Amino acid sequence: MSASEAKKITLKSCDDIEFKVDIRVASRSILLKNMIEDVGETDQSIPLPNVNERVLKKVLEWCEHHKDDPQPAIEDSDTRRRNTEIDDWNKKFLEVEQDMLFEIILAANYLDIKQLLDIGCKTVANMIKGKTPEQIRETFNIQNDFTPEEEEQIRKENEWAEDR
Amino acid sequence: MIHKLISSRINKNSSISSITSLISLPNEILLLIFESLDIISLLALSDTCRRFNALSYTRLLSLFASPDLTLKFSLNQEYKWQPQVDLSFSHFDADTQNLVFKPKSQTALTFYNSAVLRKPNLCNISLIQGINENGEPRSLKENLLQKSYSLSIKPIGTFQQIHKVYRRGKGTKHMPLSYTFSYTVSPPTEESLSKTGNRERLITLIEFSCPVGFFYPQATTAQKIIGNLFGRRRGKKKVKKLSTTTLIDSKIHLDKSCEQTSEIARALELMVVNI
Repeated sequence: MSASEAKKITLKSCDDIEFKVDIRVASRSILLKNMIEDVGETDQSIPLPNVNERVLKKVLEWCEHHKDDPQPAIEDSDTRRRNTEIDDWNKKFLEVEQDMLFEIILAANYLDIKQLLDIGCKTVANMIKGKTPEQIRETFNIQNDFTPEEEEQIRKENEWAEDR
Repeated sequence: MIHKLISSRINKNSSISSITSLISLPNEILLLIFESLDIISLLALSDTCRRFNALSYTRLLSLFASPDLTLKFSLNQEYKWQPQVDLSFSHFDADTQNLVFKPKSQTALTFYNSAVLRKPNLCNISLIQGINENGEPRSLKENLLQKSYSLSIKPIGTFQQIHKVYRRGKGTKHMPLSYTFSYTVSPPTEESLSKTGNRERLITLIEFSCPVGFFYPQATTAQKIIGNLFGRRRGKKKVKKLSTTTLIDSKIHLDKSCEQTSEIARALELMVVNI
Protein backbone atom coordinates (compact mmCIF):
# COMPACT_ATOMS: atom_id res chain seq x y z
CA MET A 1 0.00 0.00 0.00
CA SER A 2 2.96 2.29 0.51
CA ALA A 3 3.26 2.82 -3.22
CA SER A 4 -0.34 3.94 -3.59
CA GLU A 5 -0.04 6.17 -0.55
CA ALA A 6 2.79 8.01 -2.18
CA LYS A 7 0.69 8.80 -5.23
CA LYS A 8 0.08 12.48 -5.39
CA ILE A 9 -1.74 14.89 -7.61
CA THR A 10 -1.39 18.59 -7.99
CA LEU A 11 -4.33 20.93 -7.52
CA LYS A 12 -4.23 24.52 -8.61
CA SER A 13 -6.36 27.17 -6.97
CA CYS A 14 -7.94 30.01 -8.94
CA ASP A 15 -5.14 32.33 -7.81
CA ASP A 16 -2.57 29.94 -9.33
CA ILE A 17 -1.23 28.39 -6.14
CA GLU A 18 -0.37 24.72 -6.48
CA PHE A 19 -1.06 22.10 -3.83
CA LYS A 20 0.51 18.63 -3.96
CA VAL A 21 -1.87 16.24 -2.23
CA ASP A 22 -2.25 12.56 -1.57
CA ILE A 23 -4.76 10.94 -3.92
CA ARG A 24 -6.50 9.50 -0.89
CA VAL A 25 -6.97 13.01 0.54
CA ALA A 26 -8.14 14.46 -2.76
CA SER A 27 -10.59 11.58 -3.19
CA ARG A 28 -12.74 12.91 -0.37
CA SER A 29 -13.98 15.16 -3.13
CA ILE A 30 -16.22 13.15 -5.42
CA LEU A 31 -15.47 15.60 -8.22
CA LEU A 32 -11.72 14.97 -7.93
CA LYS A 33 -12.18 11.26 -7.30
CA ASN A 34 -14.11 10.83 -10.54
CA MET A 35 -11.66 13.02 -12.38
CA ILE A 36 -8.70 10.97 -11.19
CA GLU A 37 -10.48 7.75 -12.12
CA ASP A 38 -11.26 9.07 -15.60
CA VAL A 39 -7.92 10.63 -16.37
CA GLY A 40 -5.71 8.18 -14.53
CA GLU A 41 -2.33 9.23 -13.23
CA THR A 42 -1.23 12.58 -14.46
CA ASP A 43 1.56 15.00 -13.81
CA GLN A 44 -0.50 17.94 -14.94
CA SER A 45 -2.07 20.08 -12.30
CA ILE A 46 -5.85 20.11 -11.97
CA PRO A 47 -7.17 23.66 -12.04
CA LEU A 48 -9.96 24.51 -9.61
CA PRO A 49 -11.28 27.80 -10.97
CA ASN A 50 -13.91 28.21 -8.25
CA VAL A 51 -11.68 27.89 -5.21
CA ASN A 52 -9.00 30.28 -4.03
CA GLU A 53 -5.85 29.38 -2.11
CA ARG A 54 -7.15 30.40 1.32
CA VAL A 55 -10.28 28.23 0.98
CA LEU A 56 -8.60 25.30 -0.77
CA LYS A 57 -6.02 25.11 2.01
CA LYS A 58 -8.79 24.92 4.59
CA VAL A 59 -10.78 22.35 2.62
CA LEU A 60 -7.69 20.17 2.14
CA GLU A 61 -7.05 20.38 5.87
CA TRP A 62 -10.50 18.89 6.38
CA CYS A 63 -9.87 16.20 3.76
CA GLU A 64 -6.54 15.32 5.37
CA HIS A 65 -8.20 14.84 8.76
CA HIS A 66 -11.03 12.77 7.28
CA LYS A 67 -9.03 10.80 4.73
CA ASP A 68 -9.56 7.50 6.57
CA ASP A 69 -13.31 7.98 7.13
CA PRO A 70 -15.51 5.52 5.29
CA GLN A 71 -17.08 7.03 2.19
CA PRO A 72 -20.64 8.11 3.01
CA ALA A 73 -23.27 5.61 2.03
CA ILE A 74 -25.53 6.26 -0.92
CA GLU A 75 -27.61 9.39 -0.54
CA ASP A 76 -29.99 9.14 2.38
CA SER A 77 -31.29 12.58 3.04
CA ASP A 78 -33.44 11.45 5.97
CA THR A 79 -30.59 10.20 8.12
CA ARG A 80 -28.52 13.19 7.07
CA ARG A 81 -31.17 15.55 8.35
CA ARG A 82 -31.73 13.71 11.58
CA ASN A 83 -28.05 13.62 12.45
CA THR A 84 -27.65 17.18 13.68
CA GLU A 85 -24.61 16.60 15.90
CA ILE A 86 -21.34 18.13 14.82
CA ASP A 87 -18.31 16.60 16.55
CA ASP A 88 -15.77 18.75 18.40
CA TRP A 89 -13.06 18.64 15.74
CA ASN A 90 -15.46 19.80 13.04
CA LYS A 91 -16.91 22.43 15.32
CA LYS A 92 -13.45 23.86 15.96
CA PHE A 93 -12.57 23.54 12.30
CA LEU A 94 -15.56 25.70 11.34
CA GLU A 95 -14.94 28.37 13.93
CA VAL A 96 -13.99 30.85 11.23
CA GLU A 97 -15.12 34.20 9.90
CA GLN A 98 -18.55 34.20 8.29
CA ASP A 99 -17.34 34.78 4.73
CA MET A 100 -14.81 31.95 5.14
CA LEU A 101 -17.56 29.63 6.35
CA PHE A 102 -19.71 30.44 3.31
CA GLU A 103 -16.78 29.97 0.97
CA ILE A 104 -16.02 26.59 2.51
CA ILE A 105 -19.67 25.64 1.91
CA LEU A 106 -19.48 26.80 -1.71
CA ALA A 107 -16.21 24.93 -2.25
CA ALA A 108 -17.60 21.77 -0.64
CA ASN A 109 -20.60 22.01 -2.95
CA TYR A 110 -18.42 22.53 -6.02
CA LEU A 111 -15.93 19.79 -5.10
CA ASP A 112 -18.81 17.52 -4.04
CA ILE A 113 -17.71 16.78 -0.48
CA LYS A 114 -21.06 15.87 1.07
CA GLN A 115 -20.02 15.61 4.72
CA LEU A 116 -18.25 18.96 4.71
CA LEU A 117 -21.22 20.56 2.95
CA ASP A 118 -23.55 19.09 5.57
CA ILE A 119 -21.66 20.25 8.63
CA GLY A 120 -21.17 23.65 7.00
CA CYS A 121 -24.90 24.04 6.41
CA LYS A 122 -25.67 22.81 9.92
CA THR A 123 -23.25 25.32 11.39
CA VAL A 124 -25.03 28.14 9.57
CA ALA A 125 -28.40 26.74 10.70
CA ASN A 126 -27.16 26.77 14.29
CA MET A 127 -26.25 30.43 13.86
CA ILE A 128 -29.85 31.15 12.82
CA LYS A 129 -31.60 29.06 15.49
CA GLY A 130 -33.29 30.85 18.37
CA LYS A 131 -32.87 34.32 16.89
CA THR A 132 -35.51 36.95 16.14
CA PRO A 133 -35.79 38.31 12.59
CA GLU A 134 -33.97 41.49 13.71
CA GLN A 135 -31.12 39.46 15.20
CA ILE A 136 -30.84 37.34 12.05
CA ARG A 137 -30.68 40.46 9.89
CA GLU A 138 -27.98 41.86 12.13
CA THR A 139 -25.93 38.64 12.23
CA PHE A 140 -25.90 38.13 8.47
CA ASN A 141 -26.22 41.73 7.35
CA ILE A 142 -29.53 41.19 5.58
CA GLN A 143 -31.44 44.16 4.22
CA ASN A 144 -35.06 44.33 5.29
CA ASP A 145 -36.75 44.81 1.93
CA PHE A 146 -40.34 44.51 3.07
CA THR A 147 -41.69 47.93 2.22
CA PRO A 148 -44.35 50.06 3.91
CA GLU A 149 -46.36 49.81 0.68
CA GLU A 150 -46.48 46.11 1.25
CA GLU A 151 -47.69 46.69 4.77
CA GLU A 152 -50.40 48.89 3.32
CA GLN A 153 -51.23 46.11 0.86
CA ILE A 154 -51.62 43.57 3.65
CA ARG A 155 -53.81 46.02 5.52
CA LYS A 156 -56.07 46.47 2.52
CA GLU A 157 -56.30 42.75 1.88
CA ASN A 158 -57.49 42.28 5.42
CA GLU A 159 -59.92 45.14 5.62
CA TRP A 160 -62.85 42.91 4.73
CA ALA A 161 -62.19 40.79 7.78
CA GLU A 162 -63.56 42.89 10.58
CA ASP A 163 -63.72 41.70 14.15
CA ARG A 164 -67.19 40.79 15.18
CA MET B 1 -3.65 27.81 -22.19
CA ILE B 2 -7.42 27.38 -22.20
CA HIS B 3 -7.25 26.48 -18.53
CA LYS B 4 -5.47 29.72 -17.84
CA LEU B 5 -8.03 31.69 -19.80
CA ILE B 6 -10.92 30.13 -17.92
CA SER B 7 -9.31 30.53 -14.56
CA SER B 8 -8.36 34.15 -15.16
CA ARG B 9 -11.91 34.96 -16.24
CA ILE B 10 -13.47 33.32 -13.24
CA ASN B 11 -10.89 34.96 -11.06
CA LYS B 12 -12.12 38.33 -12.24
CA ASN B 13 -15.69 37.36 -11.50
CA SER B 14 -14.89 36.18 -8.02
CA SER B 15 -13.01 39.38 -7.24
CA ILE B 16 -16.16 41.38 -8.01
CA SER B 17 -18.15 39.60 -5.31
CA SER B 18 -15.23 39.39 -2.94
CA ILE B 19 -17.21 39.18 0.31
CA THR B 20 -19.33 36.08 0.52
CA SER B 21 -22.41 36.41 2.70
CA LEU B 22 -25.52 34.40 3.44
CA ILE B 23 -27.48 36.30 0.80
CA SER B 24 -24.88 35.56 -1.87
CA LEU B 25 -25.28 31.80 -1.49
CA PRO B 26 -27.20 30.06 -4.28
CA ASN B 27 -30.74 28.85 -3.54
CA GLU B 28 -29.81 25.16 -3.57
CA ILE B 29 -27.40 25.69 -0.66
CA LEU B 30 -29.80 27.95 1.23
CA LEU B 31 -32.43 25.21 0.98
CA LEU B 32 -29.91 22.74 2.43
CA ILE B 33 -29.34 25.10 5.36
CA PHE B 34 -33.11 25.56 5.84
CA GLU B 35 -33.47 21.79 6.15
CA SER B 36 -31.82 21.84 9.58
CA LEU B 37 -34.06 24.58 10.96
CA ASP B 38 -37.05 24.12 13.23
CA ILE B 39 -40.39 25.79 12.61
CA ILE B 40 -39.83 28.82 14.87
CA SER B 41 -36.38 29.62 13.44
CA LEU B 42 -37.71 29.22 9.93
CA LEU B 43 -40.62 31.55 10.67
CA ALA B 44 -38.14 34.14 11.94
CA LEU B 45 -35.94 33.66 8.88
CA SER B 46 -38.89 33.96 6.51
CA ASP B 47 -39.55 37.35 8.08
CA THR B 48 -36.11 38.84 7.37
CA CYS B 49 -36.40 39.60 3.65
CA ARG B 50 -38.42 38.80 0.55
CA ARG B 51 -36.04 36.23 -0.88
CA PHE B 52 -35.88 34.15 2.29
CA ASN B 53 -39.63 34.53 2.67
CA ALA B 54 -40.19 32.98 -0.74
CA LEU B 55 -37.49 30.33 -0.32
CA SER B 56 -38.59 29.11 3.09
CA TYR B 57 -42.19 28.47 2.07
CA THR B 58 -41.88 24.89 0.88
CA ARG B 59 -39.87 23.85 3.89
CA LEU B 60 -42.27 25.61 6.25
CA LEU B 61 -45.21 23.78 4.75
CA SER B 62 -43.52 20.42 5.13
CA LEU B 63 -42.71 21.29 8.76
CA PHE B 64 -46.32 22.21 9.43
CA ALA B 65 -47.30 18.91 7.88
CA SER B 66 -45.06 16.88 10.21
CA PRO B 67 -47.21 14.37 12.10
CA ASP B 68 -46.16 15.45 15.61
CA LEU B 69 -47.34 19.02 15.09
CA THR B 70 -50.66 19.90 16.71
CA LEU B 71 -52.80 22.99 16.80
CA LYS B 72 -54.66 22.76 20.10
CA PHE B 73 -58.00 24.56 20.45
CA SER B 74 -59.30 25.25 23.94
CA LEU B 75 -62.92 26.14 24.41
CA ASN B 76 -64.87 26.84 27.54
CA GLN B 77 -68.34 27.58 28.80
CA GLU B 78 -68.70 29.14 32.25
CA TYR B 79 -65.28 27.62 33.16
CA LYS B 80 -67.13 24.39 33.81
CA TRP B 81 -66.97 22.76 30.43
CA GLN B 82 -63.47 23.12 28.99
CA PRO B 83 -63.00 20.76 26.11
CA GLN B 84 -59.96 20.77 23.84
CA VAL B 85 -59.64 19.78 20.21
CA ASP B 86 -56.44 18.80 18.41
CA LEU B 87 -56.04 19.84 14.81
CA SER B 88 -53.39 18.85 12.33
CA PHE B 89 -52.26 20.40 9.08
CA SER B 90 -54.45 19.35 6.19
CA HIS B 91 -53.28 21.25 3.11
CA PHE B 92 -52.14 24.54 1.68
CA ASP B 93 -54.78 26.52 -0.15
CA ALA B 94 -52.96 28.08 -3.09
CA ASP B 95 -55.83 30.47 -3.88
CA THR B 96 -55.99 32.12 -0.49
CA GLN B 97 -52.35 31.35 0.47
CA ASN B 98 -53.69 29.90 3.68
CA LEU B 99 -52.67 26.92 5.76
CA VAL B 100 -55.68 24.72 6.41
CA PHE B 101 -55.98 22.64 9.58
CA LYS B 102 -58.56 19.99 10.36
CA PRO B 103 -59.47 18.16 13.57
CA LYS B 104 -57.60 14.91 14.11
CA SER B 105 -60.83 13.20 15.09
CA GLN B 106 -64.44 14.22 14.58
CA THR B 107 -65.48 14.42 18.21
CA ALA B 108 -68.54 16.44 19.10
CA LEU B 109 -68.18 18.78 22.07
CA THR B 110 -71.11 19.12 24.42
CA PHE B 111 -72.31 22.59 25.44
CA TYR B 112 -75.57 23.94 26.78
CA ASN B 113 -77.88 26.50 25.34
CA SER B 114 -79.64 28.31 28.15
CA ALA B 115 -80.70 31.82 29.08
CA VAL B 116 -78.68 31.72 32.29
CA LEU B 117 -75.47 30.33 30.78
CA ARG B 118 -73.00 32.32 28.76
CA LYS B 119 -72.20 31.14 25.26
CA PRO B 120 -69.13 28.91 24.89
CA ASN B 121 -65.84 30.64 24.02
CA LEU B 122 -62.93 29.79 21.83
CA CYS B 123 -60.29 31.02 24.26
CA ASN B 124 -56.93 29.58 23.22
CA ILE B 125 -55.11 28.22 20.19
CA SER B 126 -51.63 26.89 20.85
CA LEU B 127 -49.04 25.24 18.64
CA ILE B 128 -47.57 22.04 20.06
CA GLN B 129 -44.83 19.80 18.76
CA GLY B 130 -43.47 16.62 20.30
CA ILE B 131 -42.70 16.46 24.02
CA ASN B 132 -40.24 18.35 26.21
CA GLU B 133 -37.67 17.02 28.74
CA ASN B 134 -40.40 16.51 31.34
CA GLY B 135 -42.43 14.36 29.01
CA GLU B 136 -45.09 17.06 28.59
CA PRO B 137 -46.27 18.34 25.22
CA ARG B 138 -43.80 20.95 24.01
CA SER B 139 -45.56 24.20 23.32
CA LEU B 140 -44.08 26.29 20.50
CA LYS B 141 -46.65 29.08 20.77
CA GLU B 142 -48.59 29.54 24.00
CA ASN B 143 -51.62 31.40 22.79
CA LEU B 144 -52.05 32.60 19.25
CA LEU B 145 -55.30 34.42 19.94
CA GLN B 146 -55.46 37.94 21.28
CA LYS B 147 -58.98 37.67 22.60
CA SER B 148 -61.59 34.97 22.92
CA TYR B 149 -64.60 34.62 20.67
CA SER B 150 -68.02 33.35 21.59
CA LEU B 151 -69.64 30.71 19.46
CA SER B 152 -73.29 30.94 18.62
CA ILE B 153 -75.05 27.75 19.60
CA LYS B 154 -78.75 28.41 19.59
CA PRO B 155 -79.50 27.82 15.92
CA ILE B 156 -78.61 24.48 14.43
CA GLY B 157 -76.35 24.69 11.41
CA THR B 158 -72.88 25.37 10.08
CA PHE B 159 -71.09 28.57 11.00
CA GLN B 160 -67.97 30.34 9.88
CA GLN B 161 -66.19 33.05 11.81
CA ILE B 162 -63.55 35.40 10.44
CA HIS B 163 -61.34 37.27 12.87
CA LYS B 164 -58.16 39.26 12.93
CA VAL B 165 -54.96 39.02 14.92
CA TYR B 166 -52.17 41.54 14.97
CA ARG B 167 -48.61 40.41 14.34
CA ARG B 168 -45.12 41.79 14.09
CA GLY B 169 -43.64 40.87 10.75
CA LYS B 170 -42.75 41.80 7.19
CA GLY B 171 -41.10 44.99 8.33
CA THR B 172 -44.14 46.13 10.27
CA LYS B 173 -44.97 46.06 13.94
CA HIS B 174 -48.68 45.95 13.39
CA MET B 175 -49.78 43.55 10.72
CA PRO B 176 -53.42 42.51 10.76
CA LEU B 177 -53.98 38.94 9.61
CA SER B 178 -57.32 37.28 9.23
CA TYR B 179 -58.12 33.69 10.00
CA THR B 180 -61.29 31.68 9.70
CA PHE B 181 -62.74 28.76 11.52
CA SER B 182 -65.92 26.87 10.87
CA TYR B 183 -68.01 24.54 12.96
CA THR B 184 -71.37 22.83 13.01
CA VAL B 185 -73.92 22.95 15.78
CA SER B 186 -76.01 19.81 16.06
CA PRO B 187 -79.17 19.20 18.09
CA PRO B 188 -79.05 17.11 21.27
CA THR B 189 -79.06 13.37 21.08
CA GLU B 190 -82.39 11.68 21.81
CA GLU B 191 -81.06 10.28 25.05
CA SER B 192 -80.21 13.71 26.48
CA LEU B 193 -83.35 15.24 25.00
CA SER B 194 -85.39 13.20 27.42
CA LYS B 195 -83.08 14.10 30.34
CA THR B 196 -82.28 17.79 29.94
CA GLY B 197 -84.75 18.93 27.34
CA ASN B 198 -83.73 20.85 24.26
CA ARG B 199 -80.69 22.43 25.92
CA GLU B 200 -77.75 20.33 24.86
CA ARG B 201 -75.77 21.39 21.79
CA LEU B 202 -73.04 19.41 20.08
CA ILE B 203 -70.32 21.43 18.44
CA THR B 204 -67.96 19.90 15.90
CA LEU B 205 -65.05 21.91 14.54
CA ILE B 206 -64.70 21.54 10.79
CA GLU B 207 -61.77 23.61 9.69
CA PHE B 208 -59.34 26.33 10.62
CA SER B 209 -57.38 28.32 8.07
CA CYS B 210 -54.83 31.09 8.46
CA PRO B 211 -51.87 32.63 6.63
CA VAL B 212 -48.33 31.64 7.66
CA GLY B 213 -47.97 35.07 9.31
CA PHE B 214 -50.51 33.93 11.91
CA PHE B 215 -47.57 32.21 13.62
CA TYR B 216 -45.40 35.32 13.69
CA PRO B 217 -44.86 37.04 17.07
CA GLN B 218 -47.79 39.02 18.39
CA ALA B 219 -48.03 42.75 18.18
CA THR B 220 -48.26 44.25 21.65
CA THR B 221 -51.36 46.08 22.77
CA ALA B 222 -49.50 49.38 22.58
CA GLN B 223 -48.58 48.69 18.97
CA LYS B 224 -52.17 47.79 18.26
CA ILE B 225 -53.32 51.14 19.61
CA ILE B 226 -50.66 52.97 17.59
CA GLY B 227 -51.70 50.97 14.55
CA ASN B 228 -55.29 52.02 15.06
CA LEU B 229 -54.17 55.61 15.32
CA PHE B 230 -52.23 55.09 12.11
CA GLY B 231 -55.37 53.71 10.52
CA ARG B 232 -57.26 56.79 11.62
CA ARG B 233 -54.52 58.98 10.22
CA ARG B 234 -55.16 57.34 6.88
CA GLY B 235 -58.66 58.73 7.17
CA LYS B 236 -57.14 62.15 7.56
CA LYS B 237 -55.20 61.61 4.34
CA LYS B 238 -58.51 61.52 2.51
CA VAL B 239 -59.29 64.86 4.05
CA LYS B 240 -55.94 66.07 2.78
CA LYS B 241 -56.84 64.89 -0.69
CA LEU B 242 -59.99 66.93 -0.41
CA SER B 243 -57.99 69.98 0.53
CA THR B 244 -55.80 69.56 -2.57
CA THR B 245 -58.93 69.57 -4.71
CA THR B 246 -60.06 72.73 -2.97
CA LEU B 247 -56.62 74.10 -3.75
CA ILE B 248 -57.16 73.30 -7.39
CA ASP B 249 -60.53 74.99 -7.11
CA SER B 250 -58.98 78.10 -5.69
CA LYS B 251 -56.36 78.00 -8.44
CA ILE B 252 -59.09 78.00 -11.04
CA HIS B 253 -60.57 80.84 -9.06
CA LEU B 254 -57.26 82.69 -9.25
CA ASP B 255 -56.96 82.05 -12.98
CA LYS B 256 -60.42 83.45 -13.41
CA SER B 257 -59.55 86.53 -11.42
CA CYS B 258 -56.40 86.90 -13.53
CA GLU B 259 -58.57 86.87 -16.61
CA GLN B 260 -60.75 89.44 -14.98
CA THR B 261 -57.82 91.70 -14.18
CA SER B 262 -56.48 91.40 -17.73
CA GLU B 263 -59.93 92.34 -18.98
CA ILE B 264 -59.94 95.36 -16.71
CA ALA B 265 -56.48 96.25 -17.98
CA ARG B 266 -57.63 96.02 -21.56
CA ALA B 267 -60.64 98.18 -20.76
CA LEU B 268 -58.35 100.71 -19.11
CA GLU B 269 -56.11 100.71 -22.19
CA LEU B 270 -59.13 101.31 -24.42
CA MET B 271 -60.16 104.15 -22.16
CA VAL B 272 -56.69 105.67 -22.42
CA VAL B 273 -56.75 105.36 -26.20
CA ASN B 274 -60.18 106.95 -26.29
CA ILE B 275 -58.99 109.88 -24.24
